[in-house]
Amino acid sequence: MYDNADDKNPRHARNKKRIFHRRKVCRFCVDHINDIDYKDSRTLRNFVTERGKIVPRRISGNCAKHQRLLTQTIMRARFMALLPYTAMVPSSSGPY
Amino acid sequence: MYSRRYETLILLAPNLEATKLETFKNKVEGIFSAGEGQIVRFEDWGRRRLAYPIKKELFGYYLLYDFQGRPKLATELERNLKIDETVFKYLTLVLSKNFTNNDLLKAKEKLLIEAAHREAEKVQREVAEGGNESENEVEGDIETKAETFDDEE
Repeated sequence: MYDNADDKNPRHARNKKRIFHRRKVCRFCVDHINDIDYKDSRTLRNFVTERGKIVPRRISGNCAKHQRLLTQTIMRARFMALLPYTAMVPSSSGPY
Repeated sequence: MYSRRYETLILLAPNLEATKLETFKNKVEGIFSAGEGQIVRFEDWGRRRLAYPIKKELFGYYLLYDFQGRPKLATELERNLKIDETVFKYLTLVLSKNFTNNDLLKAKEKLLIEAAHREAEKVQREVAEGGNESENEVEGDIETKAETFDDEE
């Protein structure tokens, strides 16, 4: 991987890495949605990981406004047990 | 006096007897009528799997009330839900801070139109699916099928 001396320097190596930019657009801005329904768990599931964590903005590409709204909505859905707080891991003791 | 539009989702214990469920619904409706509230929309989601166990139960029974009323009515409803032991959880949201009787009528109308649309779509889909499954349909069905295709174009 490091065939010349410069690459051994971690700073240079980092500079050599190519960063790919793909412009992500906020799905809610595109669809002109300004109120996200917490009861619509099917849509919300697109924005949580398999573990149930909220997908960060840098991954989902949402704009700040909609991400704030989405976070609030997911928290409501979690409260009403429509979405999990965390994924259930099968275990010999108890339901979790 | 101003009215608001609220939406309350109630999570009940899963194994309620039909009669108990009925009395619960009647009780909620009683609270609405006593507090001069109007139900805009009521949905019975039925028994659903919970995302996590609550009180050791894996299922829950959901009821959704979308209603118009004064803030006092919402607090009164929540007070009653808090007392009731069959209620696991509830969540009330304010949908509109100033919801007049006129708005109420409009909202109800909108819901009716939406329901009609959904019904029409359902019928269309059923007709289309039925047509795919068997070619030898009754003549009437084929006619309606042709109509739906025309609509799509």
